[in-house]
Amino acid sequence: MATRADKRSSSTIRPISITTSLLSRDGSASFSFGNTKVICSVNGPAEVKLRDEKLDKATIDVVVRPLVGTPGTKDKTHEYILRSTFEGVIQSGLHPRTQIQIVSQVMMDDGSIIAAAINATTMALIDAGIPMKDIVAAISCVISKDDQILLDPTLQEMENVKSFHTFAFNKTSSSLLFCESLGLFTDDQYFNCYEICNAAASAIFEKMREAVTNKLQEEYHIES
Amino acid sequence: MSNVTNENNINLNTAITFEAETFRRIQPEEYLRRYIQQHVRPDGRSFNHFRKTTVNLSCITTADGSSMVRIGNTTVICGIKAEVSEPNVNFPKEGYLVPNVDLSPICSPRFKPGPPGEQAQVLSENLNKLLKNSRVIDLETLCIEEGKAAWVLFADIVCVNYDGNVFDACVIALMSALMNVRLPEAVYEDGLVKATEEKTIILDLIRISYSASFAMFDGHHLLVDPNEMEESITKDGITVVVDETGQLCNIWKTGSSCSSEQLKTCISKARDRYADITSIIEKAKQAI
Repeated sequence: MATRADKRSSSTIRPISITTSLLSRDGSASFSFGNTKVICSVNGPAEVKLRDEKLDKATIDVVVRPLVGTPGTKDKTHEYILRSTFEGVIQSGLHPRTQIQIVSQVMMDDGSIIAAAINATTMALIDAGIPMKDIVAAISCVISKDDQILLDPTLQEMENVKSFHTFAFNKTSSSLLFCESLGLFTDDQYFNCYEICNAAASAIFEKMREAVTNKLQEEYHIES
Repeated sequence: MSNVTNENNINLNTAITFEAETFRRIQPEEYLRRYIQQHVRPDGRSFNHFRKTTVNLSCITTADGSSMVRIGNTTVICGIKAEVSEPNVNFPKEGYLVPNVDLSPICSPRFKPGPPGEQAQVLSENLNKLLKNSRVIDLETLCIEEGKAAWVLFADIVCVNYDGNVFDACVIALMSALMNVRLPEAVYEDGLVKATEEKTIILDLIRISYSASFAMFDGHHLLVDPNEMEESITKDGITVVVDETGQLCNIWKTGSSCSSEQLKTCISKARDRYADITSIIEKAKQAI
């Protein structure tokens, strides 16, 4: 098996690190895949602007900030992705006429940034105690020029590829919530990526579970 | 006295039943569900039925390439204007293709005047990614002189009437407008670009891809080509873009969960749709 520039095998995820409650918001978390890092903060349920008020559910407001410069169309697209993914997951019906604000700040972009943003948002929502039906994990992969599927690509690996895929799955039924696939690919390649990413998502769920357990043990001084 | 009670009774009875239009306004989701249970959609279509699609080529004479696409009541116009500019320092051999989608208040009251809203930005970004990643056009063919001059194609897509599934309409409009582009032959001489209108070149497209969009209702009813009402209720969208060989160019899915079987159905339906759009565009080409 050909190894990659950072000596990973094709189906290894970069080291994941999760930190929660790092900001003085209702909930916050940082999530990183190797050098890619996103910080997410969640505020809510809080007061909503009259214009955005919904009578039967909470309004979910997402703000994505790039590391440098002002937000552009790419960040708007990321906002749309985060909102549409989490709107169905958050039990917004429990808090009508309020706003849940999600702010996602890119700290370092070394590939798979959308996946990191989705994972950070899941952790921040858990940290904020927002009721959710399910939790979400996302992972990217690329199909390289020599038809190899590389999981969790770095920015360098994302250049000159045949196709680039990002999948987000939920935990209970491990079914697909969000998918963005770009480039040129066949059905078989697509569903191979789907399966590989689905398996990788369960590894991420395990990491998330670990992070939550560790935090609770620290908070309540439980000896494991 | 007995007359009065009789009238009251009638009022009570009529209070329970109301117009379908009222039902649609107060319970839009339940309204749609009642239709779906009868295996029909509110506008009379079956689940697998695309709305009537028409394409009109060369409808803007002042543009270098243009088309107008209607899918049901959704109408978009795409005009491509070519300008000369200096190429990017990092890619001295390449020109530019800049798609931009405009959803102005003219197409639907839910869009406000002013800078482009979120949906317009997402549409532009997705179109740009599609063009870039699936290599629809070889940007090197837009080069006039390496490092000095290259064509910039501004593809402005304006939505005139918004009735759902704008992405499909935008993709068809953009592709057909690109096929319609006639660039004047340009030569670079001593810092000047001279273009002659007498000789025109047709763009060399590497692949032509079309998209098919679907809405998922209640997690298992797949509605093809959703209109505005269906789109706003379902919130779950799947878009599949395929090229002429049936290869996949883009899959975009948002909203709640779906299975891989449903994705497979979407892909096969997108391929069927591709053939339909090709024949529609062939007809449009003959009509000019």
